[in-house]
Amino acid sequence: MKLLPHKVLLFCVFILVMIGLVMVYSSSAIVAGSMNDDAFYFVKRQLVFIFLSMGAFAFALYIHPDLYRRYSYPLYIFMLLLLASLLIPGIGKSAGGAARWISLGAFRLQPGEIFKFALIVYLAKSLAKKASLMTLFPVGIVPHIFIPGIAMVLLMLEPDFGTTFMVATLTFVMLFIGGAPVTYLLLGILVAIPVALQMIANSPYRLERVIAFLDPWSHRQNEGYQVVESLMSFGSGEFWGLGLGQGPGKLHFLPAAHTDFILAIIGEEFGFIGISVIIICFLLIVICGFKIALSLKDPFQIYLAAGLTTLMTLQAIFNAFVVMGLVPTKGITLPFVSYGGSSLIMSCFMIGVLVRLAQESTNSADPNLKEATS
Amino acid sequence: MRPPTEIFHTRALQTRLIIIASLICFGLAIAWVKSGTLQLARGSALKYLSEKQYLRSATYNAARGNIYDREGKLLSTSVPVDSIYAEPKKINNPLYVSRQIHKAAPEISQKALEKLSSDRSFAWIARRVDPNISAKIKAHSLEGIGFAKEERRFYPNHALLGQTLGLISIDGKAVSGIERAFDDFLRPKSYMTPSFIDARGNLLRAFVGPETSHLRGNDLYLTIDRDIQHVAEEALLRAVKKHRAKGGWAIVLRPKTGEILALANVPLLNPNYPMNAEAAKRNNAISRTGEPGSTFKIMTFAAAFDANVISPDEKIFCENGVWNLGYMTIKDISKKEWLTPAEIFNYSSNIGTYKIAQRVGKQKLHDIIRLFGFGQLPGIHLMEETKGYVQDYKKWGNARFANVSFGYGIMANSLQLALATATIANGGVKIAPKLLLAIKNTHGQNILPKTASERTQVISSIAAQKMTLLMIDETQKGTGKQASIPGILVAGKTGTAEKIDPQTGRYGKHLNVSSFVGFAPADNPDIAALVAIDEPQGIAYGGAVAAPAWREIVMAALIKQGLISQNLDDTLPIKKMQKKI
Repeated sequence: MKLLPHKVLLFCVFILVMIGLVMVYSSSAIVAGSMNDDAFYFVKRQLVFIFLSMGAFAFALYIHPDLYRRYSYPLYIFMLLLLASLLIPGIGKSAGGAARWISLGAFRLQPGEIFKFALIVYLAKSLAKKASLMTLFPVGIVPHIFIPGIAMVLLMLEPDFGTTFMVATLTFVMLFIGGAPVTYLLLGILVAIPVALQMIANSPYRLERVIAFLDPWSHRQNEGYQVVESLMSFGSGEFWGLGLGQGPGKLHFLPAAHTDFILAIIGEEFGFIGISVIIICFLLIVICGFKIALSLKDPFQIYLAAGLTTLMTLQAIFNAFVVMGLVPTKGITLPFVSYGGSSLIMSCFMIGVLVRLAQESTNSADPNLKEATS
Repeated sequence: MRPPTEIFHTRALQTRLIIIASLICFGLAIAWVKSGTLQLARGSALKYLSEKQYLRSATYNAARGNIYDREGKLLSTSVPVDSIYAEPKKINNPLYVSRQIHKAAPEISQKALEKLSSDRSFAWIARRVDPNISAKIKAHSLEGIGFAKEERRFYPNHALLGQTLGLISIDGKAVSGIERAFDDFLRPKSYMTPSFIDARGNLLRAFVGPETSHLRGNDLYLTIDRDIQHVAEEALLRAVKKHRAKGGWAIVLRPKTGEILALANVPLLNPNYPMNAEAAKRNNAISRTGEPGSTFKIMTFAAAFDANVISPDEKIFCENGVWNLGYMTIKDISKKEWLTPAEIFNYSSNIGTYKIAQRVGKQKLHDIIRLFGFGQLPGIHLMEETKGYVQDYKKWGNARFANVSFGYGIMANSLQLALATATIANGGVKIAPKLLLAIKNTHGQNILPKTASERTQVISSIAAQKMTLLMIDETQKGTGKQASIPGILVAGKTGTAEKIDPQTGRYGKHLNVSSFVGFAPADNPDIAALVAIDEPQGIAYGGAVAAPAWREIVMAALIKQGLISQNLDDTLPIKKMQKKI
């Protein structure tokens, strides 16, 4: 059997989701037990999310990529409205001081996760349409910074710095892939840096995180607490790890052990070996995702595939960087592994889109599908 | 066919895709390298820091070792009881909860209940409470109130051996007695365990850990005999009550082995209630030092026999009861002229004793006293043991020399006196006292190191036998008649030591410690014992106050050993002994 990119992709995702399920149990059992008297509370919910994710994946397989192209603008506008609605008191469900959630009964929807997909679809369509006009600043650059910029403002108002950062990074990557001149992009980064610094300086909690990031050990009683706990848990694993369930980090020490910091617990319990497996999985996802992108002919599909792959793997990298103290704490989950419905379902949905795109490329002999609509 | 620009476009696009993919791979590589530095290079350092944070020395669930008597009868054990804690953050109405607890258990202090309205996440309300108190509070099922099992020390025989067994404080610390002295053996082995601690380091809840029976402390087997101990305490209680005394104590031991069979103190201390017994906490039998008085004449006579400076038939002039030496005046209660050494001993003549001591000499008397163990710790390893005080003979003036010869001017405790008596009983050989028979670990193996008990020849065995005859006389003809047991030869000495009145700083006529020390059967000593009654009212003579209790205790001990035989003619053994010498 030939190792087709999308098969490797699926295999890696399967491995990550299974590791995630086990680790969600290991890292949340004690907290869940003392919170809800049910050690399986988070595992049960994660299982539900996995089933929903499989549905989302299957759904994505059956949707022709052209459908995204056709509805990309309405989807983007709808997602913007959803993000805006979070700012209305009573709708946005506050978690950890930020309104990032819409409550749907027993579950909570995080519109930011879906928005990232909408953004990629919008950019893929718009960049493909502009094509050779990308070098023109008012046509190729301005709209692609202004339109994601609206979302960034809304996200900053929630506030959700992590997603804002991801949106900004994705926009730059997509613009680069789309052929925007590098000089413009560098200019954009030069503008973005003071803006980001201003936002950090204006928000006490973000400033704390930066201080904690710069010198976590001397602030370990307050701002640096989470980073130091994360480093200690992560490092404790050494080469082989302490063994499943043996890590003490989740004994209330490490906040968000089953969500943003699940990698610290993986490092603690499975050591360097476990982390290597995770990194290899994401490495294969990058390779396969871009292989699919390279095998495609239609620029929209290429941008879509590259954008989705970039989104998932960049999130993984930034999550790992946060856990290892390389960047300040931001609130980015580890795709497929961290506990959380919105993230898992959307990640699997995007994998579904990628696999569908891979099938498109193998069917590219069919001239009907090659035709691009504008 | 594509137009050339589109081909160029595709190639440039491919390049850009590969650049982005490479950058992402580079990011993953950075993560991989960083995880290597954290886990491989800094792993052990981080692990150490992490362990320092969450590992706590703990003994959860594991029990303290039991204490048994020599026959394996339980003296001290640990039982799991409830400790009540609160999670004040979870309590919405602290006033209501506090009122409910107060209604159910008024014993719980108001101060503890104030913790309910604090903003702490955890607070103990009451540790190791009575089962019925915790049951009453449990019945209310109050919010934010929880129960954790903790071990509480329980003494099934109540006050038996109380002061010697010692006390365990409410937070589980050994405070006194055997519990403290052998805490290292009794304590459950601690182990490092993850503790439930929140970000501020507060213990969130008592950890119900894994099976920890292997961590249980060692069991102690004492040389104490529970039955003899019981009789000793009962006899003391009766004597103290009869003579309206302040208290009393008794020591029973085996001269041949040094094993202590009973160590009793009255008033009794019930270690189950450590808070209510301030007055009874002292283990006077081993800790109270004082001037021993007449019983100490045994040492002077033993030294004289050992130095061979007296013969049984000679007569010594006893100055008609008053001897003015210039530097001091010595008085006797019985005014006599000429007495044999045995008579001096039996009439407890201070004048005669000092005259004998003068023949022995300061140095010899001092050395014998030291050899008997005075001025040193007896060595049963309890914290409460005292050394007493024996001044260097070079500093003795004549008055001090005279005083020492009949038991004043030195400080001794009753255990030292009982051990010195046991040395006479044992043919002049001193044996180190023993309170521990065995220390058994969880597998039932004895881990008490088997060392040959230290034996010191203090006086010659002939001297010891001569001393024994004198002490037998005491119980047959002298002041110790009330200690005699039919069918058994009893050797002993009465004592009525005057105490210094703390208010006047002088010897108080009515402040005495009446005592009797001796052993039986005198021809083959199996039991040595000392009984002291502190500050008896009315008659204070040791022969009248302490000897009956001594007799009762020693008889019980002999019956326990199966040594009492009513058929024996009590004149026979002494004749046998006299012939031997």
